[in-house]
Amino acid sequence: MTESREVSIRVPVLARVEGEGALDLSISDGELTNVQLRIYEPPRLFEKFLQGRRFDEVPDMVARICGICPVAYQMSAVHAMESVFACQPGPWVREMRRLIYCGEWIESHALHIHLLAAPDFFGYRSVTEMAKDYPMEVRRGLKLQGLGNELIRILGARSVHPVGAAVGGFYHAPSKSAVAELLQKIKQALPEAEALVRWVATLDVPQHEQQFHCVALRHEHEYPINEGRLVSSSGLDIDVSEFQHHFKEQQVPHSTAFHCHLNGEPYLVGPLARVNLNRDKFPEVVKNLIDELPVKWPSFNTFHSALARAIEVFYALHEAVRILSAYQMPDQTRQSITPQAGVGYACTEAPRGILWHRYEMDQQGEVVNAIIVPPTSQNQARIEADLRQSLQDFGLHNDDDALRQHAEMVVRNYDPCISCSTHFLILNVDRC
Amino acid sequence: MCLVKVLGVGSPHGADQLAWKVVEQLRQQTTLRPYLGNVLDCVILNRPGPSLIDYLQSAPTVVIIDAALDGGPTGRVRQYSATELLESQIQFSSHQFGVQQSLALAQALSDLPEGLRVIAISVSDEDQAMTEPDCEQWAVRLAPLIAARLDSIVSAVS
Repeated sequence: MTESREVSIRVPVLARVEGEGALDLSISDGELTNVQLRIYEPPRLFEKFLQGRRFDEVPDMVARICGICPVAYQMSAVHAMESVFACQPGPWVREMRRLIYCGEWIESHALHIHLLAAPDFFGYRSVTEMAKDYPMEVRRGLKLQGLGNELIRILGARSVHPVGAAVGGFYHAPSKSAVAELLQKIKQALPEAEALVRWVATLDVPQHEQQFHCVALRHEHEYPINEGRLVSSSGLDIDVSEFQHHFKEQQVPHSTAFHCHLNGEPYLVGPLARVNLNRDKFPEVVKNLIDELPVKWPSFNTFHSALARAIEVFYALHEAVRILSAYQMPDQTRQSITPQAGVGYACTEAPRGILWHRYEMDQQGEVVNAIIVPPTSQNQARIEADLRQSLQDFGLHNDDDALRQHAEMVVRNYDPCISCSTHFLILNVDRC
Repeated sequence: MCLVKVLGVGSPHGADQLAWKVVEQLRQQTTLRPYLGNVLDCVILNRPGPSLIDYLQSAPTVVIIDAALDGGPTGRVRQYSATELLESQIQFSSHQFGVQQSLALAQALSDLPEGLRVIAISVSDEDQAMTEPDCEQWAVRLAPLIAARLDSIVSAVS
């Protein structure tokens, strides 16, 4: 195999989660001439389904967009519609929304770290292989994931496609005894979450520094989850309603999911972008732990995304302890809604990054028009840019199998919903 | 602690409700009533994913009931051992972490109970979207058959 070879690596099925995808790589004379993350699943048309639906149907509908991050879709939706209806749900609802979102971060991040990222870094084909050699770590990951699910359940009634969220608040308030029981479990898990962070920091990840824009929410007083302004590492600082003035979605021939660019360039959303832009907002206990890690922040090594996820698991558990410790039964769990016509926007931090919603509502409180921009589509262009540089750094002289494995690891590292399938890609290689 | 735990795995969608409805019917079966609450416990689980592993530790004998797309006609009941299930080809995905995958992970962690059994209720491709009343009708028909199997399991361990 020489540098002058011409190779076409086609990964025809990145069987998807939130999309079916494939990966095409072409190498000619030692250069990558084509890198395409193809998402070919037919559009799911959720935005169209929402048209004509009443506001109170929307949270349960958008939850079905994703089985891993349904809370994110619900939270972006309820905030956007409340802005149309001038609804202020109050401090109890605000805290509970933060709590249920912490649950989603914990379950989603724990799942990704242990089922997808760690097997890659250790060279295993799956978590089952890895579990034989790292049973304690896998058990810890499953326990943390289970706690995240419990946090979602206590407010959402179930952890998959929860049904507790409403425009104006929640349909149900947890009992104080249920809260006390869960609080105890979470407190007991804090040392394990700290151990998780320290363990992930020791993983032998590729050292590939890249240049890219980070985009995340930023809040004046707290680590961003449900609220904040949209900021970037290149100086952007806008209200979420201005998203479409700066971020442009465009169709590309090889993907049914839109690519999204910030002022014409790819950008990163997700845990690494959040930590890079907001680590000063962590409480002291998290800051102190970060200071002890052998990683300099901000980090522009995208493989530090797994560490950023672990840090956010640690943070989310501490945040849950804070919220649950101060829990009081509310006088009412939700505000009544008086529908009115208008346009509302919201952006929240899904586990995989910013999730932007826009709703146009009519006088009866029915959806006239909806736009949803999920994090996975926002990261698509960045993933392709990362693949170009990472594979060049890895060495195009490596054989096709090694290139494919490295490419899959790069894709999975972003935790795109399509990452679920990237563990069993089928590879076709055409040699010229 | 009960000696036999029955886990009805499913979701509130289409034929995936079958195991839930069967568990509801099992609780009404006169042959099982003497055991319920002491020797036997029946619960339903909503897409537990890898959390299923925790439930595998909850009793010396665990029986999982799940709807299965295994090529059989709707309503066929088959019982598998963990070994039989694990010998099949398994693919992993965080979004599709089902019973097989959880059992494989449990085996890797040495958390697979010896007395594990899986009762699969076949659903044909065309019946995947069956309604809740249809699921309830199937559950009424199948519960006595499954209760008889459980009766022999419970009798053997108690």
